[in-house]
Amino acid sequence: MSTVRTTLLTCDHCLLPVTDREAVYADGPSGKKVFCCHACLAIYEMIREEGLQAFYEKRDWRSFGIPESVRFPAGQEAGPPLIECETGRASVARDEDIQQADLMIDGIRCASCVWLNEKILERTAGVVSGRVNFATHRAVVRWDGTKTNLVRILSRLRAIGYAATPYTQSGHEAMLQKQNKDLLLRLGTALFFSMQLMLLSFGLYAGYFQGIDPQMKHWLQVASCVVCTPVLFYSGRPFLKGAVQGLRNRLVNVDVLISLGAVTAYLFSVYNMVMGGEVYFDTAAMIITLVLLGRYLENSAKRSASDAVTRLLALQPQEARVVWAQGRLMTAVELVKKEDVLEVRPGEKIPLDGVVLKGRSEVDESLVTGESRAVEKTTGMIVIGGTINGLGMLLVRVTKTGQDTTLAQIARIVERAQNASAPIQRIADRVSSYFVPAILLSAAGTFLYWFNNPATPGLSAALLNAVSVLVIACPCALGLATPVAVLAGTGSAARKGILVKGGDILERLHKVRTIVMDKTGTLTTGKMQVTEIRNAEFGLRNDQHETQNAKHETVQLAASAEQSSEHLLGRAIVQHAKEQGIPLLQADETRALPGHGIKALVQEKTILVGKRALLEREGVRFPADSIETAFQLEREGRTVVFVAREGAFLGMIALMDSAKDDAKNAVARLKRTGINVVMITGDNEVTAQAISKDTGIERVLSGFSPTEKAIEVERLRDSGKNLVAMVGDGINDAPALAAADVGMAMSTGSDIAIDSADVVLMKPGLSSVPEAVELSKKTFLIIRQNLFWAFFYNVAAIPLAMTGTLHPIVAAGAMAVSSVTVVANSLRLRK
Amino acid sequence: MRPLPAGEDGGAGEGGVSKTNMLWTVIALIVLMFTVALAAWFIFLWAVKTRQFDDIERPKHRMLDDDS
Repeated sequence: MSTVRTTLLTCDHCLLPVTDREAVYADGPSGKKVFCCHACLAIYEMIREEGLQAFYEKRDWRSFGIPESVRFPAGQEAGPPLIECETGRASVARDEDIQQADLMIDGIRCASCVWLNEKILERTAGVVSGRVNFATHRAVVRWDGTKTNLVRILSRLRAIGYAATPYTQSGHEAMLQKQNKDLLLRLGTALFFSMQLMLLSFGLYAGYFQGIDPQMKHWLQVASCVVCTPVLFYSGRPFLKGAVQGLRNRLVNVDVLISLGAVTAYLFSVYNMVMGGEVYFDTAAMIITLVLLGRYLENSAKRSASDAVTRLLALQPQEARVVWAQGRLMTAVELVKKEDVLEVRPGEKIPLDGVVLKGRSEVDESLVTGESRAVEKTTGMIVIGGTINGLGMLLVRVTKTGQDTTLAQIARIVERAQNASAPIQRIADRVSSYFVPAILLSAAGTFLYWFNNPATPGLSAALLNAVSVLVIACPCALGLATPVAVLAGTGSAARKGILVKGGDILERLHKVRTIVMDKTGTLTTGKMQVTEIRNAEFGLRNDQHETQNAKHETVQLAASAEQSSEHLLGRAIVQHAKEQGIPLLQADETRALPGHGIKALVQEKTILVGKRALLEREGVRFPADSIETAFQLEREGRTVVFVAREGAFLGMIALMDSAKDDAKNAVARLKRTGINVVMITGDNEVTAQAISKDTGIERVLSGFSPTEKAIEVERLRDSGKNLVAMVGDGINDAPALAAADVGMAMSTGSDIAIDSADVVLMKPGLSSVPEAVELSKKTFLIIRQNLFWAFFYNVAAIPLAMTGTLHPIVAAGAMAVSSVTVVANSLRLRK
Repeated sequence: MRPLPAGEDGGAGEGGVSKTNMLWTVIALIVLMFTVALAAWFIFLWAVKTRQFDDIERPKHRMLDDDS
């Protein structure tokens, strides 16, 4: 290769760094423009034609590049073709001629992207309206069906560099959204009426300090009652319902505590209002409002996490390329029938189970089987849907669709596992189950004391004092204690690249005593890498200094021969050479010998790279110790490639899917916090042992099928009576992820793994695992402190109620102070 | 708040405001408050129903867009 000096430029559209030789140039009105590819140039021209260049001044991009599906090399077809079938998946709502659809738009990075998308939609003939939601990256488009169609609209967005796909809301999502809307209505109502109630209450408080006309007081109380009633019976309905349900199941949960406090306060106040005493309407309404606020905060944290997950999954459209007599057609996977022939291009995911009709390639089945080595596929061999095609093109005849595919079978196991794992009792429920009987007892004690007190004979004083104990005991800040801490905790996790799908998960995670980790793709990088090079001249020793040059030569020759190879091992060797800065030499007459290796002419000499069998067939003689060394390396879990020059054995290169850089550190950190780390894999014993040595994990379980993994996780849960977390990325891990108390999936993993996990780790490294555990411990500590402070002020006021000297102002004071304490304490997590 | 002169029980007016008058004023104010509050509540209900709360990020940028 020539070594002409190159300078790095930046693409004017996508900000991608590009060398001056590869760049595409164009003349714009404001001088020469540079682009990384023709796609970016086309996008720039499109935006300029529409007169929307202002976008480039306004935008605030912190990352570069455009979505994969939009990029295409010069001269090739413009991205994946859009055809009618693709829109068959979208639910298009029709109202006479006007049609409406939801879109998911990939590539939105700033508010200006939203602006650009909306402007383009606006200027598309036939589009009635297009609104893009910045928070969710979703758009609602309405268009005139007689003038344009969805395909045309989608390709307009694609033309300006955004990948838009029709998007159908799942039932679960629609339910969540409805729940959220309902919660918002109840919370909003509670807030409005509580505000009115507070104004009225301030009049009453002032009356306490300065004296008040009894008639005026009465009217203020009546008004308070009017505004309190909807808060308790409309906004508080879910709690009342929950309490009734809980009591029916003989469970004392948070709802019981809240309802007990709010309802007694309300009834007590109504009685006092009529009889001319003090009222506690503000306490009743505040309890409900604060608990609702807490639930709303928690719900929105959950929603933003699940939005992020949905976005992650929507980026991988479930499509297949069907081969017809007329050509190829992109179709939704659901529409593919048995016996259809699919074309799978290099690097694509194989959509469905089938048999190879034509072509040869290496398929990465690690996501399904856990086996880290790619599997060679030729005509007549079975391929599994969800696996990733290597570098060859395959024609696949579909044998299984819908519920029969391997993927669907695993999905069913996941579902079963999810239904089987019972949710653990949340801490607030646990505390309530002790607290409610305690306050009932103290109320009973108060009643008995006053009932037998000769100074105040009769039922009324005893009953009033007993009820006032119940009124003051219910902590208003209880509803905020957990959600605010969870909100702060998940927010801080999200900033670290850890997506937590719900608050209870943080509560569960801190109790985890065993973490089960998948090997391929989780502990390891999931890619083959050169780990060792041995050279024959130096007796195959693994000595650093002496053999440096010889090693260099071995790699140089092997990489030169392999430079045009599409074999995964070959590419790994080329990659290694590039990383080491070893220049590649010109190779001629390259001949790939499928399944065996490669033969090429480098520097006029025949170079053979491949399996031992290939070299032996070509008459290469191996020194006696070389076989022994190769066996040794293979026992350590490596794949060995042999290199020969002019029929003479030169050396060998050992490759393996090695552990991630931070794996050892992460495992050590977890062990320090007293967590058992177990490795589980579908791969063989030998490779598993090698990785266990590199990462410091002592317990290794190898050769496990997806179902066995889930059963093993289940077994670990029962035997130790401890919570178990599972970290994985593959389809084969999904059942185990669902079975574990906390499932953690790598964001690079398969859709089904991400879907069945509770936590998604957005960073490729493993350091997020200990980080998540530490964060959950911190969050849980804060929750405990919050619960203490929520109860503290109210419990401290109980003696006042017992002695019959409780006043609404004390209840209001306790309410305010405990809420402020709880919120301030939670904010410490945001650091 | 107006400090109360000693001996006055926060009621009968010296400056010509009778106790009943004050009571009626307060009741009228409460009714007025309810009316305003209910109006605000209905606006809130309408806003939720018309999906005004679905995206609270984009609209604040929208006013900065120039209509080219």
